[in-house]
Amino acid sequence: MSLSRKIAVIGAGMTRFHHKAHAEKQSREMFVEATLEATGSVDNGFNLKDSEALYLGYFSSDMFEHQGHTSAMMADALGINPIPATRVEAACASSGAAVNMGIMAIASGLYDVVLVGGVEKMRTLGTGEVTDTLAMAADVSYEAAVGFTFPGLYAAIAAAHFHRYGSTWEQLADIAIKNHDNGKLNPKAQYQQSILEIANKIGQRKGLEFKDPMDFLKSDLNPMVADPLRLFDCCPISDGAAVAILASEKVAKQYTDSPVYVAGIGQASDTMALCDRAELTSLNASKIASKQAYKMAGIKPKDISLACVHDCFTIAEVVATEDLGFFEPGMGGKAASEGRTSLSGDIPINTDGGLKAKGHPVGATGAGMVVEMFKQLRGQAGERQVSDPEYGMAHNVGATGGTVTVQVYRR
Amino acid sequence: MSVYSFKEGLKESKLLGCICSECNNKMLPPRMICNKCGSTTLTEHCFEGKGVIKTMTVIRVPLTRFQDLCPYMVGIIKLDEGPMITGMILGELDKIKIGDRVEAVYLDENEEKVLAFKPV
Repeated sequence: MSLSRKIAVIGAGMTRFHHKAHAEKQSREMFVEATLEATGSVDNGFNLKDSEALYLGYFSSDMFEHQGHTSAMMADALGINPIPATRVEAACASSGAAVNMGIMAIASGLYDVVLVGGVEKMRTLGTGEVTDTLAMAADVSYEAAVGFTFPGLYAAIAAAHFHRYGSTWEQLADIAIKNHDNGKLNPKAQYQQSILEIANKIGQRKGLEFKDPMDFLKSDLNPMVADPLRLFDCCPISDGAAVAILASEKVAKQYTDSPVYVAGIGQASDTMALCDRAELTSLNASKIASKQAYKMAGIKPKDISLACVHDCFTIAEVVATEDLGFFEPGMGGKAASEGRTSLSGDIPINTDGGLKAKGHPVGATGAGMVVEMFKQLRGQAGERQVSDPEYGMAHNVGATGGTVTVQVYRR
Repeated sequence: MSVYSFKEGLKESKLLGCICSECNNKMLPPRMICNKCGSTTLTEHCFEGKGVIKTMTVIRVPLTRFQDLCPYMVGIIKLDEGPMITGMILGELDKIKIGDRVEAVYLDENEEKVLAFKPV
């Protein structure tokens, strides 16, 4: 597999991902806000009317906002009718898939400039209803029907991983601590505080003081959601939108001297139900999608300078760093505890805070990763900038890996 | 065979899947195309429902329709007859673990039958 034309990201932008900040906005306002930031990031300026198509990822505006046909609505809100606007739905990988669709559309020769993005307004519902809605991404008839929640499915993966490899909950906690440390450096992150800072904020109300984040994470203030996953092993519920502007190489040069190139893409599917998988400790679709992307880019996992991986739960980051080939199976948790995935480690993971701290407006997450790639590979990531990165990987997972999308970007 | 026939089976305390006439692959829940050889010649097969817990968790933040049961256990069971299936797990919290042997039972919940497994 190869792309018949070279394709670049010429601009990218996002709203802050947050649980409160967008209370007075619908998807349309968040999406316009993200798009205006993306157009503003194009070095030589960008007229929205140059866009020839929009591929939009969202999981369920139907349930969250009682609004369908959101793709057409966003094109309308941007004032870019009559270009085609298409919904791409793949649960939490909706915008990762939308990005791939946009890349393929340009590679096909049909368009030169395409908008790709994602949006999700989740905070219209309470936690119970959000849990119900997210469970729709699992097999409703067989998994949700027996009481499995979404955190429950990842907890089952964690339990299997612990059982098989002897990995530990402390390793998961180290990932949460690391991702909050990164989120602290990202002005777009939902949580811009370390876990210790949050611990002492919560502890203050109870007359408790914490010196070590691990003491807080082991306490009742971090309740169990689905054993062994506690609250701080789970990404939050968030509102947000993210957009990237893609262009063919020949057109990209008009807009910027520093494009970020798409070096390779991959995408794979897997069984809906976790129980139908040969392995419960890895996501096969991640392995296949990343192999495709590495091959297309002509590189190996060791060539990746940084990666945004889909850490909807801390265990998902462990599994992802193994499936993407950064660490041997069973070694992802240990590597994180050793600091190898921190900003100064040999393969920084989730430099933007990940889903855990940056937030996870499900349909916007894959596009949000492109924003981080665009910033990091252009040296514009501020305090969280990784030193001289060449290749970056974005890895977006739908549900328990029924869909996985991967892109490799190159500066 | 369909989701409907599987659910109708649960009502009669039966674990209904299918078996491939070409390659003898046993599938649960039932499918229309064999997930091993691609054959469409499948016949109904009633599973015995005995097996081992491959992985499990305790749900403490439940789906709204299971609120009354919370906390409750769910897991993935590897049946002696081959396939793995998702189910609720009954028994004492903290006593049940991966590797335990279980058998299928059929739970009345919200006027529906829910597939569950209890320790043997």
